[in-house]
Amino acid sequence: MATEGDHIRLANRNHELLLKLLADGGFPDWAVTVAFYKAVHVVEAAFASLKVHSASHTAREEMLKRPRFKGLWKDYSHLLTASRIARYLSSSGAGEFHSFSDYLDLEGVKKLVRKRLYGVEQGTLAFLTTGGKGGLEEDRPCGGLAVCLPAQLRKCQTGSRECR
Amino acid sequence: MAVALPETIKPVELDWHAENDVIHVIPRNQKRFEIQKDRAIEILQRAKDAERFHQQFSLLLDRLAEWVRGHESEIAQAIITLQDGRLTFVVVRNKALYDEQFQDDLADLDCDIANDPDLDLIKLKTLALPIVGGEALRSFLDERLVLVYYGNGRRPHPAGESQP
Repeated sequence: MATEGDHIRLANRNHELLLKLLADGGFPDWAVTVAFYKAVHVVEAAFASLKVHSASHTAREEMLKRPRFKGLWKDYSHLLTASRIARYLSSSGAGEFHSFSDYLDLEGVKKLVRKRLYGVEQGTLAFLTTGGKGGLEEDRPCGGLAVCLPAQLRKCQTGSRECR
Repeated sequence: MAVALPETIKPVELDWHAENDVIHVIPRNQKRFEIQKDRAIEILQRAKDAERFHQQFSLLLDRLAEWVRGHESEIAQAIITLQDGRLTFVVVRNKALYDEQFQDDLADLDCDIANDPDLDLIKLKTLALPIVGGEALRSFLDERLVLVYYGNGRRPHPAGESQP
């Protein structure tokens, strides 16, 4: 079973790819999907620190709907929905929706990441161990997103990393 | 505004109307409704608690109708179906563009239902989709249970077309 640290490493790897996809700009659908999978690993890291493991996406969602995680659920649900639309919704018929960009364009995805993925990250900090928090904040790749987590921001401000 | 579902899907239409703030939900085809509900009980493995499940399911239909009523101007179609062994409330919005407030409202509803002691047998997933034609909805619906809300005598329109 993956540990908190394993999930943090995978979350950071997803974050790195997310930054590349956002910089490229041509794949808002995949960017949102990677953002969702980062959220999955961040949440699973928090659960691992609480000695909980989700056996499925459904099990994770049910856990997140519990009152103690309610704020997390709200942010997570935005990423979950957008990624499901990106992965499974296809419409070539009449109507306004023809591709994912009709739902969320690149700027929309950036806003979603800044608010909702950041919300998931912030929300899980309360549950992570000190090591987990350090991994999530300090090893999180920088750049491309306006929002830094607190420890990362401190690093950025000292000039050791560039955060735009 | 409504979306016409593929011809092979046989939905049960649920009429809802409000009377002094009390919502009434009435299936147009009671026999087909009972068949689909019994099938859902089998699929959801609720045979042991069938009687309680029937009561809770009825309460759920009212709760969802109440929510649909509150968001009527934003919804093209509201459907109860099954996904991944769970009841699923699929809401098709009447716009393609992402709507943050709508997603927040749906996440709140989802959380409220998950934590309602009177609905302890109900495990519900929710999904808000942008406006699409009925054929695009196929992969989100399980034809063994498809209940569609119609308020105040509204009827479906051809796939992807909006009612003025």
